[in-house]
Amino acid sequence: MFSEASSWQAEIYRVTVDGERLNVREDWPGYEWSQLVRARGLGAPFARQHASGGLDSTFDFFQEALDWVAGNTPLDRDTLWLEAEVRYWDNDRGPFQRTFRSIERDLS
Amino acid sequence: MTTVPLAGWSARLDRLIDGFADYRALAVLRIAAGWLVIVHLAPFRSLAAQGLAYSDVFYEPYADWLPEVSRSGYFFLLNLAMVTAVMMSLGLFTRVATVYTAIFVGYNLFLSQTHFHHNRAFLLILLVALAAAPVGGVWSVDAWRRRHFSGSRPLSVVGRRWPLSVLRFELAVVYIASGTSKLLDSDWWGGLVNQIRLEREAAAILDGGVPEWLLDIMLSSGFHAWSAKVVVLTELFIGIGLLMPRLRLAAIWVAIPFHVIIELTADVEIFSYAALAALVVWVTPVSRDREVVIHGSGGVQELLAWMVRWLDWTSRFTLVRDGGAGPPVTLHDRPALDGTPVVRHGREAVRTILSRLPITFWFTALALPFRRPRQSVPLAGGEG
Repeated sequence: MFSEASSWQAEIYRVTVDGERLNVREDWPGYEWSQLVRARGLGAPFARQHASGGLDSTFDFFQEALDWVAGNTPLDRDTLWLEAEVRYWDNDRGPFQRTFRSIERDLS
Repeated sequence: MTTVPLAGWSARLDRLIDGFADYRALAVLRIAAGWLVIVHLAPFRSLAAQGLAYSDVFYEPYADWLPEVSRSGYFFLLNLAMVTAVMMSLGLFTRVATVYTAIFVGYNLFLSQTHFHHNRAFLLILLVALAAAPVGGVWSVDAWRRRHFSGSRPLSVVGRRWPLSVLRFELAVVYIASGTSKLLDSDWWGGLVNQIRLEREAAAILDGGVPEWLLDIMLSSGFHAWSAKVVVLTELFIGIGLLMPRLRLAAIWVAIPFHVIIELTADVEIFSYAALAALVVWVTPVSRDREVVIHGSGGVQELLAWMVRWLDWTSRFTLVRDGGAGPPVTLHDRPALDGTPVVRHGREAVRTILSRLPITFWFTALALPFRRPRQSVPLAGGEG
C-alpha cells in the first residue's frame, strides 16, 4: 500500500544556446514531454499529483527522466540542458521548492 | 551405515523443504495467475500497439549487463507471453507455459526500474513458485488429454514441499514488512497519510453517494488516528497469523475483506486480486482426506452434492453418494490430534463442508468456533 500521501508538481524548461529559458509545454518543436516520459506519473508533472512510491523515489526517477530526455531528443538542436522547478509537499508539510537540472547536451 | 532421524527444528525444517506436498489447491492460483499476467502486461501491449517498446520512452535499466533484445524481438516475446499466460490458465503444456511466463514477466520487470511496482514483484513471486511446482495435474487441458487420449498415468500433483514453503514465507513477509514500515512511520501510524488521501478524493467520494455527514467523520483527524492503527495492526496480524497454524484460518478470514477494501479504496493495479488468489497457498497440502457421504436425493442433498463436486476447488473432499438409509449428510473429517476419528452429521457437517469451499468459506468460517467439540465415534467392535 502507498507509503506516503506526498505530492508534487513541476514546470520544465529548456535552456537554449541563446540563453533563453523556454517552457517545454509552450515551445519545443518536435517533442512533447508526455510522449517521451510515461511512467509513474512523470509524464504529466505539470499539475499537482500524488508522488507514486514516495518523494525520494519520484525525484530520483524525475532526475533520470530529465537526463534521458536530454540524451534522446536528437531533433532538438538548440537546447543546452533541461531545468525543472519542482514544488512538493511532504504529506502535509510544505510546499517546498527544488530545482533539477539535466546533463548538458552535446550539440556538436 | 546407521541413519539417525532428525529431531526438533531440524526435522521440521527438513519436512518444510524435502517433504512432499499435494499441489492440487494451487491449480486455482495457476488459473487466476494467467489472467493476472494478461492484465499486468496490458499497458505494455498498449504501448506496443502504438508501435512503441519500453526503450522508445524514458526507461532506466537495473543493470547494464542485462541483455536487451531488439524492438521486434521484444514485441515477439511480449506477445508470446500473452499466449503462454492463457495457456497457463488453461493448463495447456502447463510447465513450459508457466516457466516462460514467469521468465518473461521477470525479464520485463528488470528491463527498467520504472517497471517496478510492489504488486508486480508480488505477481512474479507467485509465478516463480508456480513454475517450480506441479500445478498442471488438475483443472487443466493437460490432465484432460491424459485421461481421455493417453494410456499414461495421470499427471502427478505431488512434489517436494520447498516451493510451497518458500512461497508461504514470501507471502507472509509481504504483510509483515508492509505493516512494520507503517508502524514505524509516525505519519502513517498517526493517520495523516490516509487522511490526506481521503481529502484529495473528497469530491469523488461525495459524487459516489456517500452522505456529507459521513464524509465529515471520515475526514476528521480523530477518525484517522484510530483507523490507521487498525489498518496497520490488521496487516501485521495477517502476516504473523498466516505463519501460525492456530491463527491461520482467522488470518485468512481477515485478509479477504482487507483486500476487498483496499481494492475499493486504492489504486493497486492487480495486487488485491493476486493476494486473494494467493490465499489458496495456505490450504493444507493434503487433498481429499475428508469424506462426504450423502444419503438420499432430496433438494438439500442434491445441492450439497453439486457444491462439493463443482466448488471444491482446493480438493478437500471425496464425495460418496449412498442411496441407502442414513443421515442426510455425514462428514468423515480429519482425525483428532490423538488419532480419534471425527464424524459430523447434519448441520454441523454442512457447516464444516461450507467452511472449506472457497466461495462459502468467509460466510461460514466464523460459526466454527461456536460448534460443538469434536465428537469421537467408536470404531467397529467397540474399540473407541
